[in-house]
Amino acid sequence: MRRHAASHGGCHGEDSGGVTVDAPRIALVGSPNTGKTTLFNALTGLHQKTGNYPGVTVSRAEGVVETPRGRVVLEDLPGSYSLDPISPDEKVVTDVLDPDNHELPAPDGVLVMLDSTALRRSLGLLSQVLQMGLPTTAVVSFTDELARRGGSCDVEALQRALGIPVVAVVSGGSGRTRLLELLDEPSSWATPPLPPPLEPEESAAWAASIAAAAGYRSPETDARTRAIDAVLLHPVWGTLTFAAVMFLFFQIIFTVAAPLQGWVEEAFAWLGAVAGEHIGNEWVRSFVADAVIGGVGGVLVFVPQIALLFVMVSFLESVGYLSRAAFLMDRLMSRVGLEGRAFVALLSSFACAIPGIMATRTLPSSRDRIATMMVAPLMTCSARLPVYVLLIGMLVPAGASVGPFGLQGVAMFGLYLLGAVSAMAVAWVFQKVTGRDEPLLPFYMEIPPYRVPSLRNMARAVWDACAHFVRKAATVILATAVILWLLLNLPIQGAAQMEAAGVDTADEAAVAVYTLDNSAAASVGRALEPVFEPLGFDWRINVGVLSSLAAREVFVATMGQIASASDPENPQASLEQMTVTEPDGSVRPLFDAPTIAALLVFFVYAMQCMATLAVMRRETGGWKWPVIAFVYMFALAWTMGFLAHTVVGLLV
Amino acid sequence: MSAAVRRLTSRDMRRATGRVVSLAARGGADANGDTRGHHLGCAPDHTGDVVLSELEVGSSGVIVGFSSALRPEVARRLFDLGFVPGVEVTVVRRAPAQDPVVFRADGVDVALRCSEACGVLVAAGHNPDEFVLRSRRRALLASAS
Repeated sequence: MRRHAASHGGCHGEDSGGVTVDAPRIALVGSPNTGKTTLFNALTGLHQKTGNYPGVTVSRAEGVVETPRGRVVLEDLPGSYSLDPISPDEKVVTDVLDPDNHELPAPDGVLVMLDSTALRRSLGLLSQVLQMGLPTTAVVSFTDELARRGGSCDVEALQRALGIPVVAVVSGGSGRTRLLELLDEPSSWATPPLPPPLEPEESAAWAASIAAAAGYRSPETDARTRAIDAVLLHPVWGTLTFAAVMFLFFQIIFTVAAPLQGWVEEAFAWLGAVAGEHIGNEWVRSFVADAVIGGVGGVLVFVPQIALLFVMVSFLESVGYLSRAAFLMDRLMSRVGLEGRAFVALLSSFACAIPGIMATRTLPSSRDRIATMMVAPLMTCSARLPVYVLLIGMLVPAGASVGPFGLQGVAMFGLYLLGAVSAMAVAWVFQKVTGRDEPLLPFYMEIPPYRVPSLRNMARAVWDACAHFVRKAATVILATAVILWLLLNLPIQGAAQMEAAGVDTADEAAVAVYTLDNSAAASVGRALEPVFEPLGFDWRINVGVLSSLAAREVFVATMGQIASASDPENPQASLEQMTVTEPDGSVRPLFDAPTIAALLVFFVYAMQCMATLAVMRRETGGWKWPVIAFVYMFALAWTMGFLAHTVVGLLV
Repeated sequence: MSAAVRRLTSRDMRRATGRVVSLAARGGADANGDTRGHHLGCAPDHTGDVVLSELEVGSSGVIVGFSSALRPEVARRLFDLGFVPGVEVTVVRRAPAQDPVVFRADGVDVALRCSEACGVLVAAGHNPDEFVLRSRRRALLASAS
């Protein structure tokens, strides 16, 4: 069916369209903050698909609009201030509208958003679009806000002055009906006899004259926004509020998400048990329960956190607070060569680096985007938490305190701080290394008035983000989990072999230990021993680190398995008893203080998450940057781990 | 589609951008014919003109042009954001660290860093008539010399 073809065609990742050929294509153009996304969501409803433009990491959103006489494909072009592009996003807009560009299908018509509260500026973009010679209709937004703020605009006079169809769209108004009728037949749209002038001064004069002809009266400054900003952007109160918002952010991510995550974990544990009961073959049972269900469950357990994160971020963005937060943080960010908007991406990385990396799309400069992506994995993601909890539990006695603060809590905070400070330091180095090649983009950021958030926009943003995360992470993590399962359980040990080695085949735990000892993963672990020996790791820890490539928290479960812990979820007691024999013959506990410190620091820096690498590859359009990230982070992890091992060894 | 419609080419756009930048010349040379210095420092060097980054919070100025030290694409972007010569700009607030600064131009609030804002030349004091008078006087002076 054609409708499904339109919404399904090649939507899983990079593609260049593939939508129904005969439906008219309409492009939606406008500056950011003009209500473009709201219009797009309102017109297309659920019939949307997202992807990337060919060859660039600019997100592409297309949807199908049901019109009275059929359907129309609406393409939501990235927000742009000018057809003279300054960023890859804006270049895409110019390329799509450029009739001489044959790579991208030319639209049959263009909708241009005019923000009625900033009409002259919007008319500037319209004048550039009209130069392209495509049938154009102007859509006027925020007319209700204009009236509320004491401004006015005669839309019909505007239409007469411009010579193209002009529709004012407010929720519940009749503009939408007329717009849908217009969308049916772009070739019927009126065109102006003369194009607007191109010279900047003349274009500005043209915009002023059109506004005057439409009886445009500028709105007063939004009193509500001014009043709120007097607090939220106040040097003292604003900073305090910002700190409070950040604190709340983290509380919600970790505290509120925790029970939801618990449910997901229980659901998957139940699934695993059910699979265990119904599958006879032990080998297959282990595969299904551990690799498949465990792997997928390990990904989906993060969905509540990611969903909550996106709900908050899209709420703050819809309301208008995010640009203000970026404004407050810009000075700090610019010291390390980033900008205020990078702060949001890095903040998101505290839950998981994947949404953080996806959030870098808001940065206009591709250099900033890459720099932020390179350091986002250093922000302490929540997958590291179970590892930190286990290792800190072994390193620091439970009751110890420093003043009024528990030492374990201080250690945890210290690790978070180490990650954040390292991210800033690496960003600074990155700037030094790459800053000379291209001129820096200027920083500019519109501060929109506070608006009531659109629930539909938020819902769509959250859904898109979660769907993207699940699709991307699930496939990669599942694949890695399966590979790891194979490494840990092959070669399969025959009963005779085991008995010859003195293993009691009735004892499940002993069998598991024997299988692990002789598995392919163990061989890899032993092969890596020379590399990690200066950090105090032995082959068993190496296997654990290897398993964390699927997802960092898998380290805990793997170590539990290796230690044949009676309680795999809390292997601490068993791990503490493990010993290793030094080359000189002495025996030491495997998890002594220097080794634990080295392991902790290793986890702060190492890029273990394959899913993050996969997303990085997609966002940067190639393998170059993910490989650089992996290599530099591994080098950093090894060096810092070695330092930690040496320093703690001297202190203890 | 009307045959009279001219298609926009990248050459047209570059030329338009060049015109935006040459608006710096409109800011004029001072009596000695010196134009702006080569550094992007925030010192005014046009008698009577200040740069945007120098205005106090709450004060306004009318934009007269862009500094020639400002990169063309930056000038173009500021123009497209609403920083058009002839428009009155008000300084709304500064960040706690004094940078960046929120400006209000033609109904829109835009945050700029000082490094960009000091490329925008304004006539201090917000009397648009005074601006017209000055630029006419300047044009007279230029034509007389």
